[in-house]
Order: sequence, then C-alpha cells, then structure tokens
Amino acid sequence: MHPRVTAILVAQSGAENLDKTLRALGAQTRAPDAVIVVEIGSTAQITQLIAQFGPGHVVSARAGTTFGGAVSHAVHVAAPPESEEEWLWLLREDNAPDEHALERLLGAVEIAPSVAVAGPKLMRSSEPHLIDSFGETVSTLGARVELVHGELDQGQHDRRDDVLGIAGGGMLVRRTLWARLGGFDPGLPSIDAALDFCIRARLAGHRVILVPRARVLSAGGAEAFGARPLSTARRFRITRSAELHRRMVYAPALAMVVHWLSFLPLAVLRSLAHLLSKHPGLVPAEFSAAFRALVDGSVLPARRNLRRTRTVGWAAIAGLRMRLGELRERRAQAREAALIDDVGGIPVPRASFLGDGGLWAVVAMAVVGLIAFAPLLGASVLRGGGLLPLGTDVGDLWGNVGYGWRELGTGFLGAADPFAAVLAVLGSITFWAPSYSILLLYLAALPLAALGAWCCARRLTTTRWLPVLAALLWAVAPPLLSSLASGQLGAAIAHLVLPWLALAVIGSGRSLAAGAAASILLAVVGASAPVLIPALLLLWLGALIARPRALLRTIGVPIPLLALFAPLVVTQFVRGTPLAVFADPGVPVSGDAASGWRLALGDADGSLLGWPQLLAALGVPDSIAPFVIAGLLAPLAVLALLSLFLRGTYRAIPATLTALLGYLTAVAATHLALASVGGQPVTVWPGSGLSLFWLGLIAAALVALDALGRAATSSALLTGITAATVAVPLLGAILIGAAAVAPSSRPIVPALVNALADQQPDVGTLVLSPRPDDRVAAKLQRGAGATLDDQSTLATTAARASAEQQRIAKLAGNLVSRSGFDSAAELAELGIGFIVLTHGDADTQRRASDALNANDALTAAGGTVDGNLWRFDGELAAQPEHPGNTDTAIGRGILIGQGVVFGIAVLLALPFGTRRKVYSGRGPAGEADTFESGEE
Amino acid sequence: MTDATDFEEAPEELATEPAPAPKGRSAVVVGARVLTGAVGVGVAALAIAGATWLPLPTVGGDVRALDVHPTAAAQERVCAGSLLRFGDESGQDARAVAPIGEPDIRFAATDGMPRLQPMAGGAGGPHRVTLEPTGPEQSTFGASQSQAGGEFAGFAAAQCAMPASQTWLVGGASTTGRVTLIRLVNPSTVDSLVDLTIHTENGIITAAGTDGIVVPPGGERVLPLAGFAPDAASPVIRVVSRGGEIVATLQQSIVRTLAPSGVDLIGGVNAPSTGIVIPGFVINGGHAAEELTAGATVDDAGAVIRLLAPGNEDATAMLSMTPEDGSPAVDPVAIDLTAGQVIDVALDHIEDGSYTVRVDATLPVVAAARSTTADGEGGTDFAWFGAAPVLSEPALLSVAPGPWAALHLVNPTEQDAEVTVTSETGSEETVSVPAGAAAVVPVPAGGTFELDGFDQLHVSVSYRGATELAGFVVTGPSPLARDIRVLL
Repeated sequence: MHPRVTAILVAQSGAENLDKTLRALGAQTRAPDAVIVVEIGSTAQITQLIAQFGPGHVVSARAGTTFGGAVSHAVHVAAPPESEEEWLWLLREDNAPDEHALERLLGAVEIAPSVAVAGPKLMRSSEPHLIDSFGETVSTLGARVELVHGELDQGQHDRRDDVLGIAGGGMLVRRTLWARLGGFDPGLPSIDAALDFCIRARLAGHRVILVPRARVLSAGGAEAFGARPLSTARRFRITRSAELHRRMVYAPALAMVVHWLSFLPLAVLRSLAHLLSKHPGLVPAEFSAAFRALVDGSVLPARRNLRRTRTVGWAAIAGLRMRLGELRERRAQAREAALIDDVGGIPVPRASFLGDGGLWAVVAMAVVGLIAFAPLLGASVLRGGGLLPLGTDVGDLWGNVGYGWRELGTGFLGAADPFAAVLAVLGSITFWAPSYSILLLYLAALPLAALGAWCCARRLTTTRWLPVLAALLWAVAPPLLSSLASGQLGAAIAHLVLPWLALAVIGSGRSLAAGAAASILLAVVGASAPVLIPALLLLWLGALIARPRALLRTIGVPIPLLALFAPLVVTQFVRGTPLAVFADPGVPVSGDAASGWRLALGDADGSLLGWPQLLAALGVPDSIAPFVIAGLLAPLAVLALLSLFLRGTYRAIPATLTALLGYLTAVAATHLALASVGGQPVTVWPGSGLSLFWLGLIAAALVALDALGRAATSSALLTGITAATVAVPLLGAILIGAAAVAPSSRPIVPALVNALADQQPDVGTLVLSPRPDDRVAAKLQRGAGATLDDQSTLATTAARASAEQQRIAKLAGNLVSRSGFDSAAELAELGIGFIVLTHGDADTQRRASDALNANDALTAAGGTVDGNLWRFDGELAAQPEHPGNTDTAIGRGILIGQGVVFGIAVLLALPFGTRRKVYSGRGPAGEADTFESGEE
Repeated sequence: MTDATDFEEAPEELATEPAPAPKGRSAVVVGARVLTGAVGVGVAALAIAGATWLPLPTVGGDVRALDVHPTAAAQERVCAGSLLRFGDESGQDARAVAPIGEPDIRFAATDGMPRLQPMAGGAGGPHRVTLEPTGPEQSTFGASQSQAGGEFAGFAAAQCAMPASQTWLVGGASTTGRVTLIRLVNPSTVDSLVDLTIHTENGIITAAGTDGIVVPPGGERVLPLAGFAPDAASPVIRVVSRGGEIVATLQQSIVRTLAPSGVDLIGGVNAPSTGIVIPGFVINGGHAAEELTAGATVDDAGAVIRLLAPGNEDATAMLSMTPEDGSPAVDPVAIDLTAGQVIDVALDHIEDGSYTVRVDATLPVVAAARSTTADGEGGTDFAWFGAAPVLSEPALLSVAPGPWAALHLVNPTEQDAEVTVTSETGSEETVSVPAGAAAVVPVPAGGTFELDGFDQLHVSVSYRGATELAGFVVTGPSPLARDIRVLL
C-alpha cells in the first residue's frame, strides 16, 4: 500500500531558517501528502512566510509549547489515520531537508516492516559538510551519548543503520506508533525527548534506523529549540534534568527509591568533581537539576506509559547501549584533543630549582636555622613570649575552631579566632603531640622562608641567580627572626606564607587553581596576622584594577578570608569594637611599641635587632647601633628606591607600594592598643607589617637588579652580605638563649595542679599577680591551663569585664584583703581549688600573702616556680557542661559554612583536573571514529 | 644610565610600540622614570618622618580593671595587757613572768560596739578588742591602754595593735639594769610560727631559738631579749610570723643603781621606708635627765634617735628636727648607716618641747626616738616615740587616761590641712596643720577623737609629767582592708 506522509513543521523563531526549510519542503522529490505547520507564539513574520508557502494546515500553539507538544497538537488536528502505512515526518524550523530526504527515508522504511522510526543524517546548517548528529545511544549508566558529533562527513558512518535512538529533527515515525506511545514524554521538554521516544519504540518491539543518504540540516541540538542562546550552566542543567528524569522512568519500581534518595548525595559528589575540574559554575545547575528531579511529577505518568507499551525486556536493547569502557576511551580522546588545542605561548626561561642554586639556598638556610635554633633541638614544647603549648589532643584543637565555648578564664560562648583553625591544621601535622609541630615550624622556618621566597622570586625575575638572593634575604629577615624570638607565631606563619600568596596572586591572572590557592593562602595570612588584612585587600584591589581580564579568577580571592572572619567580625561589630578584629591572635604580650624610624630599620620590638648588646660586648658605644643598622640596610633600601628610576617600572611600582603599605601597617600596629592583659594595654605586633615591608623591598630590589645589567652582580653581593649581617645578633640571641622563647616542659599551672587536672579537668586555679599601689592582676585557669589554641581575642579585646570576670575580680580583691566576704562559698561555686600568688610588688605581695594566710578556707601548699600556692579544701561545685563547636545550631552552621567555602576553595586549588570544555553529553569534537554500533 | 641604553630597554614597557621610538620619546621615558623615582623617594622619606614625628593617636588602650572594696570583716585589736615582771608575786621563780596590776583600756568605734575580752592570763594578760561588722562599710575603730609603772616607776601607754605578719620593734636594751621583754600574742585560731631577726649596734645577732617560736592560738609568749642578745645597747627586732598573725610588743624597764627609773611599752613602728616621720617626740626635763647618768657606765638618759637600714647596703640618712610650736628647726645632720647595724644618734642639749623628727634616707630605714624625763629629785621615766605610718583615711583614736595627753598631727603633703578633731561628746575643734608642718592638740585624758579633713597625716599621742613619759603612734585601718584594684 502506498504510504501516506504528514510533514509536521514546528516553527518558533528564526525567519531565515524557516524560509529555507519551507522552500526545501516544497522541493522534495517525494512531496509529503500533507503539511501541517505549527507556529508557536506566532510572529507576523512567520505567519507571512507560512501564508506564502501555503501548506495544508497552519496550527497555532501558545508560547512555551515544547517540540513534542507541538507535534502532538498537529497530530490531533490532522485527518484521522487511514492505515498502518501512515507516517509522520517531524521537522523543526531549522531542519531544511535535502531534496531526496523524504524519498530516501521512505525507501528505507518500506523495505523493512519492523522499522517504525527512521532518522536522517543531520548536518550542521552553518557548516553543511559537518555531521551534527547521526544516532544517539545511552551509556550503561543511562547518560545520553551522541554517536557522531561535529565530524566531517566522509561517508565513514554510512554503514550504520540500527541504533538505539535518533534526534527529533527529521525523524520519520509511524503514526500508529506515535499514537500508541503517546508521543514525546512531556517530562522531557527538549533534550532527550526523541531519544526517550526511540527507546520506548525499541521496547515496544520496533526498530529504529538511520538512513545515511537522507540529509537534513540542523542549527543545533534539541536544547537549542527555544530561541534564547543557552549558557553552559543552563544547558548542563537541562541535560542533567533529562538524565535524572529518564533514570526514574526506566528504573525498576524498587530501585526508584534508591535513585530518589541518591539524587542529593550524588549532586554533592558531582559538585565536588565539577570543582576539581574547575567548573564551579556548574554546581548550582547540578543542585537545581537534583531538586527538580526530587519533585518531578511527570515521572509516574511516564512510567505508566512505558509499562503499557513495553513488550520486550531491557536486555533486548542492551547491545545498542554504550559500554563504560568505550565511553571512557572517547572521553580520554576528547581530553587529548583539547590539550592539543590549548598548547600555546612560548615558555619564558626561568631559574631552575636544582640548576640555579635554589636547593643550595634552602639547604644553607636549613643549616643556619639548625645552628640558630640549636637550643631547641631535643625539646618537645616551646614556651615564652607569645608562645604557649598547644592542647595535647588534636581533637581539642579542632574543637576550638568555629563557634562554641571558649575555655579561657571564666569562659564564654563566642566565635573562635580564625587563627585557631591555622593552629588546628598545624597541630594536626604532628597529631601525636600537637605542640611538637610548633617546634618543627621553628626549626624549619628559615629553609621554608627561603623556599617560598625562591619560588616567588623566580616568577618576578628572569635573571637566574637572583632568586637565591631573595631566598637569603627573606630567610634572615629581621621581622621573621624577631617574631620567632618573641614567640609571635602568627606573624612568623604569615611571613612564611606571604611569598606563596604573592606567587598565587601573580598566577591567578591565568589560572583559576592559582586564584583558589591565593584565596586559601590569604585566609591563612589574614588569620595569622589580622593586621595585614587591610593592606592585603588594598593590594588585591590593585591587582583587580591592574588586570581586568583576570577579574573572574581574582574577584573571589577574599571569600575564604571573609568566611573565616565573619563570625568574629559580626561579634566585634555588635560589641562596638570593630577595630578589635585586627588584634593579634594568641597570647597577648604587652610591651613598648617601637617608634617610626626604628620600624623603618626593621626593628619590631624596639630592641634595635639586638645590636646595642652586640656592640657593647665588642666594646663599642651602643648608641651607634641605629647607624650601624641603617648602614647595613642602606644597599637594600637604595636598590629598592633605585628600581623606580630603572627599567621595569610596572613591576617596581607594585613592589614599592607593597613596601609602603607594609611600613604603614607596622606603624599603625604600634598605635593600635586593641587588647589588654593584666591591666596592661597590648599593641598589635608590628612584625607582620614589617614582613610585608620587607617583601616589597626585596621585590623592588630584584626589579632594580634585573635592570642593572653588569653592575647587578656586585650590588647583589653587597646587599646580600650586609642584609644578612643585620640579622646576626638576632640569630645569636636565640642561640645563646636570650630570646623570650625557650624550650620548656613546665606545665602552665603549678605541677601539683597539673597532676590533679587529669582527674579534675575543670578544677580552677586563680593566679594572682601583685602589682604596685594596691593592684593585683587576676587570671583564672581551668584544669591544666589555657593553651595557645584556647586563646581568644574576643576575651583580650573586651573593653569591659564581663559579669563572670567581675565575679572573679570581686573574689580576688577580697581574697587579698582582710574581708568578711564568704570566699569559701564563692571558691566552691566557681570550682576554684587553687590560688597561686606570683612574685611581684613586695608590698602588695605581702598584703595578699597575709590575707591568704589568714583565710581559714585556704591551706598554704608551699612555694612553686610560679609563686606561692594555696589550696582550697572545700567541696567544689561541678562546673556546668559547656557547648562545644558542634553543640549549637549557630556553631554547626558556621562550621558547615566555613567547611563548604574552604572545601570548594581546596577543590578548585588542587592542581589536577585542568579545566576543559564542559562535557555536554555529546561525543568528542574532532575525534576519530572508533565506535562501531552494536548490532541487534 | 645613558639615553641610548634606556632607549634599548624601553620596549619592555612600551610593548605596543611597533617601531623604534623617536628620540623625543626616550627623553619622555627618562623624564617619567626620574619623576617616578623622585616621587618614590619623597614618599618614603615622608612616611618615615611622619611615623617618627607626627603625634599619631593611639587607638584603644582600654584595660579591664575593677576597684574592689573589700567586704567589711570583723576587726580585732590586741592590747598587750599588764606590765610584766620576772618571778611571781613573792619574787620567786625567775623563769616565770607575772603581771603587775591592770592597765586602763579605752576603745571606741564609729559604728557598732566593740567587745573587750581577756585572753590567756585572765585580767592581767593581753586583751582582745573585737568589732563585728555592722554593715558593708568598714567601721573605724581604735583602742589604747595605759598604766602607771608601779614598782618600775613611771608610766607606759600603747596602742592596741592589729595583728600582722611582720612587725618592726625599735627600742629596748639588754645592758645592765635594762630589761627588755619581747611579748608575742597570737589572737588567731591557728598556731603561729614566729621568727625574730635581732639587729644591734653590732649587726644581726645569731642566737639559738630565734626562729620557729611557736605561739599557740589565743596564747602569749614572753621572751627576754637578753636570752638572745645579752648586753645589747641598741636592739631593733623584726618579728615575722607564719600561720596566725601576731601582735608583738616590747616592754623595757630601767633600773639605775637599784632605783627604778621607768618603764615603757614599745609598739611596732612604720615599716622600712626612705621617708620617716616621728611625730610628737617629747623632750621634758631633758637637762635634769642628762645629769642622771653623768659618770655612769650606761648612758641612756639622753635623747637619742635609733636608726637601722635593714637592707644589704649602706645608706645615708638626713636627720632633721622641727619644734612643733613653729620655732626654727634644729640644723639637719647627715648620718651614715652601715647595713644591718643599729645606730643611736645622741641628741644633746635639746630644749624641752615636742618635735617632729624626719629621716630622709637613701635606702629604706626604720627609726624611733627615745627621751627621758626627770624631776631632778630622783623621779624619772623614759619613752620611745616610733615612726608613724601615714593615715589617708579618717581615723578614730581612743586616748587611754594619762597625764597631759596630747595629739601630734604632722601634715606631710604640700597642701595645708584643716583637720577636724571631734570628741566623743560631740565637741568639734578645727586644727590648722600647714603643709609640711605639725600641730599639737592637748586632749582630755580618756577621750575618744575622730580625725577628719586631711589627705595624709601622721598622728601620735604623747603623755608627759614630771616623772611620767609615754607615747604611741596611731595606725589607720589595716592595709589589708584598703580598696584594691583588680586587673583582668
């Protein structure tokens, strides 16, 4: 019987394409018996064109109708079917058919009665010699795979006929089958609708074939049907949604639940993969698709439909699916092809670590470091200055991160210092004895500084031996050595990380991974030395403005820093002390701030880098110390300023600006008395600002040396020798034990209390320090005492004493007085079992000692290294349980939020998974054809 | 750098420049660089100069501190009790001491009613005066005792003192005819372990038994100085207690060639300090007294000032005496003090009257002054006048009965003070005490007086008669009850 063909042309937009298609339709060698044009959201232009062509029917559909919906709409209005041999030819406005297309399609289906769906070879309308789509299949896991995509048509695929699915455009389908299968699944609005239809046709016992000699043009995939140009993320979302919908429809009933439950976990895992492959933009799309799939109401009707029409089992089509191994191979080929495309740019010759002295610089600094820190060898714990041991358990370190109970003094509920996270990471390195990590950091500080500076300098200069000079200058930098000697751990860490941060920021111009690394390093530096944050953010802004093309990779750099600081910032703002955010974390150490010119000499603590003592020892008047230092630093300063006069201004200006910002930060630090301890104001440590100052100076000096040509060698030698000489007294101070930091295994509280703290971890020790003029400093320690990770700037920067602290003050004041105060009851209630009176002002000490001796509730327990000890023998009230960082909703929220931000940053920063084109479910571009379709 | 080299290097900055730049261009580049450099140098110099010399404000600097006013506690004064003599009433058993008569004890408080209780030894033993707190504010409280010398002749008076863990006793002697008893009273509820450090003109005396003297709770120990330091002319004793705090007093009596020549109770003096004030040093019948010991082996009838620098270094002290009636001061004398050695500075030919003695030393010192009165007919008495602590709060003092009682007020500040002296009867008297000067206020014996209207004041009480001489310094509330600033 003569087959009857109804062509259904769905037009939505693109008058140019429609015109072409209509004309081609009219030029068919085998003209369709009827043509129905469906116009979606008609425009005058379309209507006019259609009128010109004069088809059998013009049907209007409202805007937003899908391709499948439009076809079904047209089938409804067509004349009722008269026989089995009635066919529908589905065309979109851009599917201009070759003049023989219908004839050849019909020819193919006429000789094989089992065929119910036939598809043409879709050619790209912009490049008609390229195949746009020629058959589709699904992988073992159900993802759609285009068998051919974007290949030059040389007839290489023409042997293929039986396939699992074909694209919707140009599809010739038996009308009875269309009616029985219910057309395209309304749950698949665009992509995968035709594939799904073909799979259902296969499962209903019909064949789907390709007709290579029938050609139809196509301007894009099914997802492009909808006029608007699609963003990568949106295209990805549509693809993923379709995939999940099909998964639910095809799954056995029991597996549906498993699939449904797996959507969100899978979305998380896949998001991680997107981050690793540097596609953060796909994460929202991934979740959007998962959430849509969770509430997809079209699944059940589609499943009913499938059950109704299915006559053969899934095994029947297994041979047409693509196996995973094959899929992997195709993807690998696609990656290689992409890599070939990416190679570009000629590498600039840079210094090599082994060949140009980098290794030797690091080794030399390691030796210097080991000699200088020799007294620390064999110790396990460092104390003194700003240093205290870390908690003995890694779990405690991590418990001090986030928002929870701060076990400092009377304790309070609040946000942790961001530095606690740095300490937790540091302590986890030596998880069996966290404090040991600080010692290792001291021993490794010089080589680590040298390594960082060498790698950073390598990016700044093409002179191959200059990085060695940078490594030397950075490793023996006075701010680093001062910070180490005075126990300013945060400033020392900031010094070690700064060159890496600079390196990452420079790299972020080209690489998203470097930008992500910069964001983490910025958070580390900011957490370790918060006073640097304003300067670093200014430099970041400068980088943004200077490199507008890297905007996207650089703009997110402060996000982890902000996430880390947000809880603290909010608390400090609410409390009315916003500046206190910049207070140094760790143990507050009060001391005299250095004046402006001393800071310019790299002197952070006013000790003039130990030169007065050295000169005095040499028998030279120590008053010339400033001049000696200035003289020794002069070559470096001259070089740094000279850089502005020489070639390379574009590098010299940022470098000198960095130095200026660093110096201003240091000066500002000495005028920021943000914290206080024991009634003494504590100014911010200027060493971290000086580190930035020093960084800028070295960078500027490198620029100048780069430009100096022949004079560079001698200048560099002079600078290296003089600047290293400046550090000699500082290195010596640590060696002879004159530094504040020293190895010590002494517990924080007296040994007696420390021993007891094992059984009674919350027993309180009130430490009283006598001061002149009837003043006494009071501090409460719990258990074995507050460790470095317990410290909190929220406590040290509080302008007023809290109610609990006032209670402690009242108790302390009455304990050191002849008083009718019921100290026994208060001691019991506060859980204070011990009182230590340290050595101090004689008069106040006598007063306190007399009062404590006269106190019936106390028993003198003798003298200790820390002072005299009294014991309270009363029954101590049990201290209430305090919430940890995961015990409150806000605490959990903060941990999760920070965890997510840092997780994303880390995944983006990991060096593997270089960015490639989004896998769109289509085959690789330009690949060789290695795929042979399975025959059924 | 020459133009030519600059020209060659320029393209790095001018990457977009396709052809070699014209000559003028290179001049512009050089000019721009010189300008950049000059700006850089200028900014650097400005930054350093600004940071050094600009008066930049310091942000923050707040410290957390709380002034704590100690809760009022029960107060306690201990009166030494009766004068003591060796042997019982019959003169037997020389190892024991026996009280002679009973002292007259007077006490008062601004708020609340103090209670007088005898301690060990009954009516003749030491007495405790306690005051329970009546409210949150510490009540001001004072007590003193006086007693005629009886068989010792003369007259003795003393303040009832607060227990302390350290007391400096300046006075006494153990030379022939001079008996000095160290009286230690422990009013606390725990044992007190007392260490004595005895300085004499020869330095610190090492003797058995000076350390770890146990004074039982509520008990008294009386130890003759001669047992540790026989024949010491100028002792100074530092009493330090561990455990319960104690009240330490010296009782000195003098017998000159079988004639009882007076008795005195010597209380603690101001702790070592570089600025010492002895208010109300009374010299009465001094000329007659000087004749008493003419030719005797022990010459202790003249006025002396006893000084000790207890540290490890020698010191120099400037000694000055100012009559309290406003007459010209005696010329100051400089005294060299050997570390640890007591020196008695003789003050010959001083007119009768009352004086303010000031000692300004290079190192902390302790001091007291002694004078002797004589009626020229054999009747004689002596008294020690100690260095007085400074009072900085209103004080209440009870003046035990005695002859010619007077208050001596010394104003150490640079502001004139109008001190109001209010008696228990309500009569109020305003006394002008000019800056750096003194005032004497005769008071009726047995009265109670409240002093107010001053910032700082040294106060003592003196008694004088033809054959009676006594004095004691007035101490303020316990330093342990002072407000304290707690730093957090």
